[in-house]
Amino acid sequence: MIVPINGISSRINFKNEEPEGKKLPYDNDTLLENNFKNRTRIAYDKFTNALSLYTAKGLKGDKNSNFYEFLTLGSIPYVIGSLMLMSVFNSANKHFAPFARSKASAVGRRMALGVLFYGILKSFTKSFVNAPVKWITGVDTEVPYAKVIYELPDNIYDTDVTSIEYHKAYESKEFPTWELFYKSEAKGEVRNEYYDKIAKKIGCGENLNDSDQEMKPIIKQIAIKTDMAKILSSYLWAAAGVGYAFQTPWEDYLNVATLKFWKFNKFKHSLKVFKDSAIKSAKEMYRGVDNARGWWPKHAGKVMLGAAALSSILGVVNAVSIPKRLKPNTDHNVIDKNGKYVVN
Amino acid sequence: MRPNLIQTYINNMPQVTPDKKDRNLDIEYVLSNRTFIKPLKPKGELVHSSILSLPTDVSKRLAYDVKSLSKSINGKANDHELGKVNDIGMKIGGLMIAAYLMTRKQAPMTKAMELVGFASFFAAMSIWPKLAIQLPAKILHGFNVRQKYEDSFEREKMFFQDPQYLPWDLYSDKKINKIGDWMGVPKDMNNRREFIQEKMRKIAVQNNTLWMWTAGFATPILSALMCNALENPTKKFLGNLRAKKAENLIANVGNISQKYEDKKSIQALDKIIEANNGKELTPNLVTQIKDNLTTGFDGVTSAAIREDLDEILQLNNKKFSINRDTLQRIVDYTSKTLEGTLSPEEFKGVIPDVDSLMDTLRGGGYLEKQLTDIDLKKVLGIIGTKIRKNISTYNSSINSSGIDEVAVINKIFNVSMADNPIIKAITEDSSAKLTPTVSKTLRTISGILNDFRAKNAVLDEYIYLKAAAAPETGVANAWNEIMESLPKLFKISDREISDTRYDRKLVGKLLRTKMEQIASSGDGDYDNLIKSLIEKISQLDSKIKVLDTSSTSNASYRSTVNSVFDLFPKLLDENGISMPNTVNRLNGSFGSLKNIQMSYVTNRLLGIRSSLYRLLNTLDFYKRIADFGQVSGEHTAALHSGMPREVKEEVVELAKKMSIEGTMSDFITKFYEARNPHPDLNDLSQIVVSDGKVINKYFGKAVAGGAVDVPQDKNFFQEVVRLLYENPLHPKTSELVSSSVFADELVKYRNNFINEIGDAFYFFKPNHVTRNTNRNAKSYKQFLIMGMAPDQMFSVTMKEMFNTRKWLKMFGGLGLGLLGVTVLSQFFFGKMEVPKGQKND
Repeated sequence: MIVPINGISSRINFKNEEPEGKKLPYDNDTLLENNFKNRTRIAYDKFTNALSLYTAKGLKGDKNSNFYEFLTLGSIPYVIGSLMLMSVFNSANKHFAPFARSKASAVGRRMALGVLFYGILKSFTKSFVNAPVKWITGVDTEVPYAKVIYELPDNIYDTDVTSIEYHKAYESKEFPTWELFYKSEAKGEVRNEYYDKIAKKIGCGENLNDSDQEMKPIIKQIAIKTDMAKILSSYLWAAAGVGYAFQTPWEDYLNVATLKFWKFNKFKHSLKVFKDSAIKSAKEMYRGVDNARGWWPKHAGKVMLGAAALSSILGVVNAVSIPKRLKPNTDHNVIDKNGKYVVN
Repeated sequence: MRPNLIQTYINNMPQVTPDKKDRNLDIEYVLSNRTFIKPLKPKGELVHSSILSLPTDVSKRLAYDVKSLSKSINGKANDHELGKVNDIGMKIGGLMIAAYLMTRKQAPMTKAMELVGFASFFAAMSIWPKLAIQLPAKILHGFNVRQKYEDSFEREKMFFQDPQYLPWDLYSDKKINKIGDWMGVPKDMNNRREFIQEKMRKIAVQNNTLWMWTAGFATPILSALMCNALENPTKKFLGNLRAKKAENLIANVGNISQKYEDKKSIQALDKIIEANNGKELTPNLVTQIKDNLTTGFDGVTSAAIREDLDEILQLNNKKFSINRDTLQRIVDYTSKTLEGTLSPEEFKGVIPDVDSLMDTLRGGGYLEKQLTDIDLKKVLGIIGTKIRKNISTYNSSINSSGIDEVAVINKIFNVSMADNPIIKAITEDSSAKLTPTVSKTLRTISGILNDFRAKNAVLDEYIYLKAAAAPETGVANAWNEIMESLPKLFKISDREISDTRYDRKLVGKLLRTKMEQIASSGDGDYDNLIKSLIEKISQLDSKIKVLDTSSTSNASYRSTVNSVFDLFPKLLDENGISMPNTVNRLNGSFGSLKNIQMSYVTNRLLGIRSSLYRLLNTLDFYKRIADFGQVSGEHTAALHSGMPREVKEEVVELAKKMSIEGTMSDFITKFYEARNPHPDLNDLSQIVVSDGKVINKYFGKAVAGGAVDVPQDKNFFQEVVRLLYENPLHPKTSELVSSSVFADELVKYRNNFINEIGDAFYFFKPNHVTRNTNRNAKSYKQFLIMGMAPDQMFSVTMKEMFNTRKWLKMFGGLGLGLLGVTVLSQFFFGKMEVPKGQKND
């Protein structure tokens, strides 16, 4: 027998009293603003947890270890692997004879620069897709939220059973956290404000009866297409980054590179050379090496940059192209009110 | 009472045939039992892949990736499919990096290694967890911690990726119990399955964490080690590929050259000819033609072709030739001159027509040849005689003196040369016009030159692949193979390599000690070393003998070069074209292209052979000194009885140094020996040798006034060269070398050294010649005969060896350490107390 469910709080709280000294920043799942501060805080939180708490739990085989922690641990091989890759090409060089050392170091330093550029471009170029899609459709696929987790207690005295995970609202395309986008009518807000806004932005009209239901399939599709474009284009940008690092003018910078900012003049000079090398390298990559033989060696740089840029552009175009069939029918006369209908 | 909605729905449920029959779904069964309808049984299963199923698995995954990408583009992908797009992106990105970095590398090997690097990185990512996590865990705990399963929607996932959701129903009781048995879980405990499952979960979580922490260290190291291991096979593979390519080139020069033909240049010439047909050969037009025909040739050859074209186009001296066009003009111009003097009918009778003129002049051999002034006069005479004869015939045919012969002759012949219609017609038809004949000649020349140029390009490519001074050519690979084996042959230890890596001088000293040890040890070290060297040099010799260009050689390269270059004049002759300057430039005896083509290889091989023979000769010299007094005196005849012992010691010392360290610049500008300018002339005793070293009585001791170089003592240098290169080889060396393929070459090398270097007017010092023949040798030839100094040879190789070994030691050690820690850690995983009250087996 199906009966309507009423009066049940959706916020089930297993917690006893908060343990002393621990105060979680969130009581329940909370949508966060996608800004630099939050992004940095989340990245820091995730990475430090990966290095400490999640590792400890993982090595213990803790019963509360979960998929989120496993995925967060996934950032460790990226960081260690990058440092290791730099080391593989550089660490042994100091033992070599001078000439071999200088030759090997030249390659090694550029390889290290390549690893660095790979990482930087891989991370930042996602916004080449995300930002325009957000601007055009209002859908921000990177918007984060804090998820409150209730863990199994270690023993009957364990009251510290909550923890926070940071996810993205559209992380799962099958199960986006739609509920976080509803506004509270109790607070006098418009419940579907978020969906109304998107509907208006993508040209589905205003004052839709059920903007949330109408918009969800569209948002889902935008999120899938945007993620695909972000993934593919970021790898192409990262590849272009490696290519960029391998341009000859970087040698000038690598010869004077220093991070010792307290040695002001040297640091200032290195920044100036960095700028010059960056510009010259970009030109060289676009132009191709002078003595290049064949089409590919001459145009490979252009192709790399072109492919990356094109993948971002096409990705955005594809993401914001919403098929007609998904758009709600705003014609209020769909049902001929004078017609005769048979209802089974 | 409210109706039971579910029951109502089931009773009225429409009969819908599913679009696609899912795996394991018996729709008839489900429908016929719908009263008892319940959730469908899950259809997941554990994935067991093997080598045999690899091709199917790979193609299945590829198809899934393509499907995932396509669904993502259309915005229909699920999370799992979107995850696959990430894998695709990573691989495309990796491939792009490899493809780009290939463009920054010059040699095929370094290019190929970019692809190897790309492949090895992905392989390392996949191999490390299998090798260091999965395999030990399987042995220790009896199950696969990286087990994959396929869910009900045929999505492949890692079984233990989410420890909060483990589809345990995919493991049968039998399987779980078997794993429990392996782990030593008590057999009769309560809730055994749950206990084993929890243990498995725990082990898997621990291993996953370990994987995340070790992968970052392991992947780059493993990838680099794999690249290192694959370097030699890749080199060998590419070397074979290039060797085959080279052989194909030389065997099919004719066919392959077609793709090198400059069709654009031929078309361009056609265009020039079509646009200027019959027009005057203006300087501009001539330049266009010359530029076209000399495209792709070097400056000297171009100059020769241009010179020949001047002759062919008759631009130097105005020489004339007669052809049908000229004769037609003779008829036309004469007709104009005689207008008013003769009626058309008379003209026809008097002036010979083109055919008749052709017959007459052909008989005299005046057609299509360059006419000299005498020829021109003779032609005038012939035509004049013919006209007179025709007038006479004409007049007699009409029985009257109708035509005034004198008037006609005067009009044509008794005028200035410029007004003579016949002269005018002939000179106007100088080849300074682009006549059809000239055009045809030019086209023929273009074809022949193009054919030659294309074939030459094939020869160039062949020789580049085989012997260019570039990495990874056939010769370079063969050379490297020998170099890499040298430190081992000379028993140089890792420590010695490490100690001497900074300085070639240190390598020289080490080499001297090694040679002295080898030469003096009686246990066959010398024989073994010489045998090994002979074997290596013979191998190299067999690889390069196809390039032999000596006059007695019948190697494929030499014969092909000959046939390509000989064909050129032959084709010109067949077409009646004369290009003496070009032929001389291509095939002449001195400085011709053919000689350059041959001598490039000759010089390359000379340099390589000299370097290796020098090493052999040095070893032999050390042996002769080590066995001093034990073998006949003729082998060290330079140290003759009239020479003071002090000088003998100095001679041996310089010879030892020179043979190991001497280079061209040392000899010419710097090489000197600090000697006693006033040696003890009374001590003519022989040197004393022990353990391969000379026990010096004088050399190295303090000299009054200091030791100095004595540049005027030319005998000193003569004896050094004689000792090294003229005194016969050690009997042992002779015996071992005599059966080798290069026995004669070694003798030739020793003679060459004395001839070109020992007898050079200015080599050691001015006029210090060995045999007083005072030659003026070419420095590049001296350089090639001198070869590479052994210390340099070893230094380069040892530096590379040190670098590779150092790197391998560092990262190989780190990799092994990491593997050890990873495996050891797993012994501590999965520790769980058996609940109290349970039996432990």
